[in-house]
Formats: sequence, structure tokens, C-alpha cells
Amino acid sequence: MSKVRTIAWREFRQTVFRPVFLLAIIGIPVGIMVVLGLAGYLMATQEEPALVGTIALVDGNGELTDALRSELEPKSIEADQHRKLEQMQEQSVEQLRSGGAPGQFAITPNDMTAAFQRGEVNITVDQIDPASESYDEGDLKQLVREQKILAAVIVPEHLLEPNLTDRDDAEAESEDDAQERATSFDLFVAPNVDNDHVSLIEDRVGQAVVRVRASRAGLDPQRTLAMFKAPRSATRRMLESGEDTSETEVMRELKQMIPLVFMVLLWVGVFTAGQHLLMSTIEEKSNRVMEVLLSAVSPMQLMVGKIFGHGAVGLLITGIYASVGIAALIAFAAMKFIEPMSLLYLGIYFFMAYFMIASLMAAVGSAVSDIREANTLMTPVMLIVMIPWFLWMPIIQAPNGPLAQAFSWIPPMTPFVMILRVSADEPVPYWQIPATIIWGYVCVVAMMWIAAKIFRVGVLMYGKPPSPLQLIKWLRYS
Amino acid sequence: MPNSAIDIQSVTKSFGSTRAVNKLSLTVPAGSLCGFLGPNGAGKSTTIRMIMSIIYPDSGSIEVLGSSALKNKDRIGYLPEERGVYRKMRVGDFLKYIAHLKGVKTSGLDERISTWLKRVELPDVERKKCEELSKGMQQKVQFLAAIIHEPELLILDEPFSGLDPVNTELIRALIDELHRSGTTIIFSTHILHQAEQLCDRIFLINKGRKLLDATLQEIRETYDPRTILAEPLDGTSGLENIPGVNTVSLHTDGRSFELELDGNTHPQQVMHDILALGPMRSVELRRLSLDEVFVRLVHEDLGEKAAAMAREELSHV
Repeated sequence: MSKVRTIAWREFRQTVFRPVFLLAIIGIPVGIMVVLGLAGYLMATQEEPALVGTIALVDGNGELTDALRSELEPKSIEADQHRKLEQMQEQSVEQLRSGGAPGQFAITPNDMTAAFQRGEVNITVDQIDPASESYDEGDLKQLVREQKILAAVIVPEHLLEPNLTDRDDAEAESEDDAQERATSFDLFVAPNVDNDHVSLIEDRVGQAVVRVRASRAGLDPQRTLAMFKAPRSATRRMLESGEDTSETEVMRELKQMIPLVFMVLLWVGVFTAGQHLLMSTIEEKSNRVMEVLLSAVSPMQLMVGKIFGHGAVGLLITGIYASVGIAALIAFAAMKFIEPMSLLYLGIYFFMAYFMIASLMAAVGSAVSDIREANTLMTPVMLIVMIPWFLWMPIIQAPNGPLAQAFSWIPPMTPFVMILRVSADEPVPYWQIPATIIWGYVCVVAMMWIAAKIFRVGVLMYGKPPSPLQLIKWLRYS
Repeated sequence: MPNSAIDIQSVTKSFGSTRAVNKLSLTVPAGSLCGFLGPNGAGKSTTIRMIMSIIYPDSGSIEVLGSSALKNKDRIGYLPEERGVYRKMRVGDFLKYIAHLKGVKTSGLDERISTWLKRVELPDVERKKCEELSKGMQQKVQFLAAIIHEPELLILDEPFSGLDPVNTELIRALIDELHRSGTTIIFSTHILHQAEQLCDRIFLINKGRKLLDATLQEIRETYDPRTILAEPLDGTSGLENIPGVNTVSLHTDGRSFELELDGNTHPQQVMHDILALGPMRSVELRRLSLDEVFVRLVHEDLGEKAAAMAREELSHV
């Protein structure tokens, strides 16, 4: 046992106490948090440019002018910001649910800036009567170009008609008709108006048009908007311990992300450690140090020592990331999202997943001579283990559905599927958790046995990587 | 310690259709320095790996230090033919790691490592990474990894391969010293004259089969010299007329003559007859080298064609 410990400690030390590892595992997440924090701080403290000036609005009877003036009042702008924030929140949750990667979200930092921050807005709206003799669209555009006014707006009369929607739906109509009934208005903006302010003007003019339509239809715009706003629910989850009144729709959606977070934690820890194990085995083979080691220890001791050593590396990685996550949840008073049992399961499934993947990595590492050959052998295995990534959404939506139940019994997917299921809302049938744990660890023993057989033969083999048939033959060697 | 350090009985090992070792039996006496010889591909490394329990025989039994090598790994030192170091590890750490795997306690280990590094003329490399050393220096570190735990039995697979003459002599002297201190040593080589200089016992194998198992003295006695080298002072001839001399040929030095005797004639009688012919600068009985013994054994075992191949292989060494 002391030899296994010596090997495990060397593997751990040689992996962890290296600048590259510390940079990759600790430095990068910390760096990302620092950069995000700094960016947030700078965004919060930077002074937004003011929007002060005149908008020329082509409007015959002043109806739209009044509406736009009303929309540009500070109170209306604030209400609009609030509405936008709500929309973004819903959009974020929807994107997460549809499996979008963080970098792919449609909400950009510009959207965030537009929603959260705004400099002073003080706009005068000048009504321009198109029927007057002095009206000339070219002159108006020139004023904008020369930055004498912020913008000029021309809204086609038909856009203000309340029965516009009937026409919009007429997809079968000819192209000419569709063009005639186009739903856009013209906005000419000065070159010095930034994009956020352009968006603001677009929004306000659009809202003013809606206001005029409502008014023409004999409706009170405020009352109409209020009428169409769906009420929020006051949801309470009935727990054994009592009534949880804190759950809102958004929180419930966020809570759905917890299983994914657990699976990612498991994945990152297991595969980072497994990758290190693979590389270290290949290194020992290619450096020809393997036979020196085998003169001191048995192949089984060597393999177990390496697996334990890199297992500690994986545990460290998972521990660091889980601690950061828990600290964040505590900081945002959201620890109630996590069931204590989920953390226990994370530990149980971590070891199960790690030993499964590690036995594969050790077997592959011993059988090949370089990383390219390893990739060839690992591809089919990786395809199987990637399945929970593709199916995590259907699994957590129906944790007890046939799909989730079937994949729970297929190693090496078992731990990844089960961590999704046990951390989802719907309880897993009580017998399935211990049964899959026992089954998983039986598979671990079988996989380790096979890996040991391959490892013992593979570490002394050089040259062409073995075919799957040869691997089976190795299992029969004494 | 039992009388024999290694006892191999009728061991056979095949890889696919190739029989690497064929019913091999041999005994290495405790305290001896044995040469395990044979050309490339003879089955030396396979046999050594089986002795070390790195691979296992298909049939037969191997006993090392009274039981299996697995149980006695800490008492055995091994320098494999395929040897290497951890490139990114410091030399001191590497030796310490191997020593720990061989069961050496931490106390006093640093001093032991420093002393040995000085002995092999590498006094300042302890803190250096292995990849910073030259190939020759790395080989000396690998040799130290095999002996750092002061083993009772030392198995060296081609210990001189790749070493320059100076380092070859250094390692040879260390092997000799370890032998004198009581360590049983077995080393394999395909360079037969190296073994001739060092060993007191020789195992010669070819194509997985044992051809010879004897002490050097026994070999000399068994393979009775049948050639006499004579250098006359004045170029006197008549050597071919001496009774019992089959052939006389000019030696490669251009001055001496090689006299090949027939099987029944005693060399001493012929030497006496040579001296009677006239004044001689030298008359000597030529001993067979191990190379010649090997070729002769292959000839006896497998015929002229195999002997010619063995001769060819030895000439490439």
C-alpha cells in the first residue's frame, strides 16, 4: 500500500504543483471573475453621454407629436427600462433552457448597458406639418446631417391606423401591396448620436405610434397596456418542511439549471483528471521509464497509484469549483436551491464517474504510444459519454421518463445521467438511487479489471497501436 | 540467502507464433557474476523480464531469491534494456522516488544519493532536471536507480550499450566492486568479450535455447585449444612436417604461422616439436574467444548456415 501511496503522491504533486496547472485550474476562473468584476465596476461608474437636442417629427395634426412628447418624459423612459429588464431576464432563462452556450447568448453587453444605464435625456419635439409650403424632406435631412437637430422622423399615415394588424397578416397579398403597407417609419439620425440613443428614439417613436393607434380606436392607452399585461403568480412549493413562498417563475427557471451545474462540475473534474492520467501514462511509456517502475511495483500497483493520484487531482478541481459555486450561492442568499443530499450524491457519482473514466484512460494510455493514437481509441468512448450533454434538457424535464431511466443503467453514462436526475425537481423512485449506485460500482470493478489486464500487457508494447480485436486478445493473456 | 539466486526450470514463452524462449533451464549461484549472452533477438530480455515477473512464462517455473520476484522486488536491482527517466523531474527527486518504491526509508537517503552521484562523477546534477543531462549522464543516473537500494541481486540488461569507453570503464569498475561486496550480478550483453573480461560464469543462448552454461574455466577446459601460433626468428619453415599438424597458414600479422592440430595430438608435444625446429620469437597456444565458442556451438546445434549467420551478427558488434 505504501508503494501505491508513493505513486499516487508523485502523480498528484507532478500534476498540481506546476505553474501551468495552477494557471489553468485556479488562475483562469479567478481571472475571469476579476475581469468580469472589473468590467462591471467600470460599466457602473462610467458616465453615460447625455441626449439633449431636438427631434423634428413630420406630423400633420399634432396627435403623434403629443404622444411622442409624452413618451419622452423621464417617467415613461424609466418604465420602459424596467420593462426591458424583465424581458431580458426571461430571454436569458429561455436561452439557457434551450441549451445555448454562455458565449452564444443574444443579449449583448450593449443590451445590458442600454437597459441599466442612461445619461440625461432632454429632447424637444418639433412638429413639422407636411402640408405647409416650407416643408421639404431634403432640407430636413440636411439639418440632421449638419447636426443641427438630433433626428428627423417621418411616420406614414397608415401606420397610425388602428386596424393595421389585419393587413399585416395578409401574407398572400402581392409584393407591391405589402410594400405599400410597410410597417416601418423613417428615422434620420445625426452622425454624432450613439447607437443606444438611436435605440431609445426608435423605441419611443414606436411607443408613440402605438399610443396614437389606441387613442384612435377609442381606447385609453394606459389602461390598454395595463389590461394586456399578464399577472404574475405567487407560487409556493409545498415541501415536507413547510411552505416555500420564495419561489418565483424566474427562480424556478434558474433552479432548473442546478442539475446542469452539477453535471458540468462532475464532467470538468472527472475529465480534467482523466486527461492528466492519460498523458502521464503515455509519457511514462514514451520516456521508457515504465519498465524501471515495473521492476519496483506490479502493474496493478502502478495503475491503482496513478488512478488514486489523479483522482485526488479531480477531487481538488471539483472541490475548488464547487466551493466557489457554493460561496456565490451563499453570497446571493440562494443556498436553498441546493439540497444537502445533492452534495452527497455529487461525491458518490464523482468517484463512480472518475473510476469509470480513469480505467478507460489508463487502458488507452497503456496501449498507445502518443496522444494521436489515444485520440483514435478514445473517440468512440467520448461519443458515448457526450450523450448526457446532448440529452440533459429532456432528462431534467422528465427525470423519470423512459429516456432518463434507460440511460441511467448504461455505463459510463450512469453517473452523469443520475446526477442530472437526482438534482432535478421531480424525485427519483427511492429504489433507483441505491440500485444504480450498486450497479455503477459493480461496473467500476469490471472496468478496472479489464483496464488492469490491458494495462499489464499494454505498458510493455511499443509500435503500432492495438486493434480492438488485439485488445480482447490481451484480456486472455495470463 | 539460498545457494542459488535464480533458478529457472524449463521455461517457455511465446509471442504469437514466435517462440522467444524455449524450455530454458539455468541456475545463477548466489554471489556470482554471470554473463547472459547471445546475439540480438536470442531471448535474453524476455528471460530477464520473466525473471523480474514483468511478464510471465507460458510454462516452467522461475524462483528468485528463494521465491518469486514479485515478493522480492525490493531486494532486486534492475536496469532494463528499454530504460528512461522522467524528463521533467529533478535527478535527486527521480532517484528518491525509485528508492522509495524500492522500500528505502527517507532517513539518510539524501546523503546516499549525493554519495552515489559523486561516485559516478555527477556531483552537481541533483537539482537539475533529467532532460538537462546528456544521454551518457542519464544512463549513469539510470544505473544508480538500479542500485540505490543496495540490492542483493542485480540484473543488468545491456548495461554498457550507448556508453563511451570512459563511462563503460566506470560502470564496469562499479559492477566489479558490487560483485566483490557480495551482490549477485547477472548481466546480458551481445558483446561477448565484455562478459569474458568480467564474468565468472556464462550463459549463452540463441533463438530462445541455451547453448552453454559453464564457468569461464570450464569453458576453457571444455573447448580445448587446437591452434598454435608460432613466430620463427629466421623464417624457418618445416612446420607443416610436424606430426599431428593438419594445416599451416600465415597469420594476419604477416610474421606468425597458425598451426591447426588434429583431434588426437597433444598440443604440448607439438610445441616441443616446433621449438626443436629452430629458434622461435614466440610459441603460444591460442585460446578460443567466446565469439568462437558461440559460433562453434551454433554450428554444432544448427549447422553451418546458422553458424555463418551467427558469425555475421558477431562481426557487426
